[in-house]
Amino acid sequence: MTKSSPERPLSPHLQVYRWPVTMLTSITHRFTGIGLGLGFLLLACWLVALSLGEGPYEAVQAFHRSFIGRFLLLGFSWAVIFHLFNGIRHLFWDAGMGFEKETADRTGWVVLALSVVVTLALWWIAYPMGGL
Amino acid sequence: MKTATKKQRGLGAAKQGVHHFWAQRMTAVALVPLVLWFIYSIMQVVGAPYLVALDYMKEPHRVVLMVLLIWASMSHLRIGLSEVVEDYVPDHGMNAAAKMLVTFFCALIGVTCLYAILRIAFVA
Repeated sequence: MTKSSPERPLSPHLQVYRWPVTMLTSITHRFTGIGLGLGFLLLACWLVALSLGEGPYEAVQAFHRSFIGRFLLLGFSWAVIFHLFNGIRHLFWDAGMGFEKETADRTGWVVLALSVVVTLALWWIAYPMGGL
Repeated sequence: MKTATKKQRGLGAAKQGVHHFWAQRMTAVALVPLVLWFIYSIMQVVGAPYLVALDYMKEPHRVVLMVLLIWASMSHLRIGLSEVVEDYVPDHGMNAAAKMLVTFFCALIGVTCLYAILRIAFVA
């Protein structure tokens, strides 16, 4: 067997392939899904604290106002919104709609942009409400 | 196999092969309005004092919708995480263990949230 020369073209591979936006949204859907599973712990803590009384509730609220708390909530809210929008995109695909390459690329960019814009808009509304 | 070959031949598949696929789509469709409602609702109580948040979450229709949200979310999460395990954990033993862990995690979080919701509704 002769050694292959380095000039020969490489087969498409994750590390050499220029990512189309559909690949990016696909793996982001999976990551946000996993993240939402972990993020559900935040909701569980909030609900349990609210059910237990004012002390636990205030403690959880204080954590939400901390730097780490805000960071986690920001990530969680973006993950919810991205997974929701991209999930709707997936449901259209399942119904056989929007699966053409150009359409799938366009809706991919729309979902990414919209998820960021909507997340920031919601935080912009919520921020003055609760000192979050 | 439950049925003798001569009896089952020609009857086709049991139509159970797409169970997870279908369940994932059903919970997804249910979660679209539920999550939109949840985002709207949570925006109403951001940073709210204890009693305000408690009264808000006690409201009967919110209790019902929260139970549905948690139920649908945990069913959806269980299938989704199991799919991830199926893709990335090739070893049979590890695969089974990881799927069990996924199921236990979803059940634990789900039941904890449901307990809290019911406590908010009837006790707190």
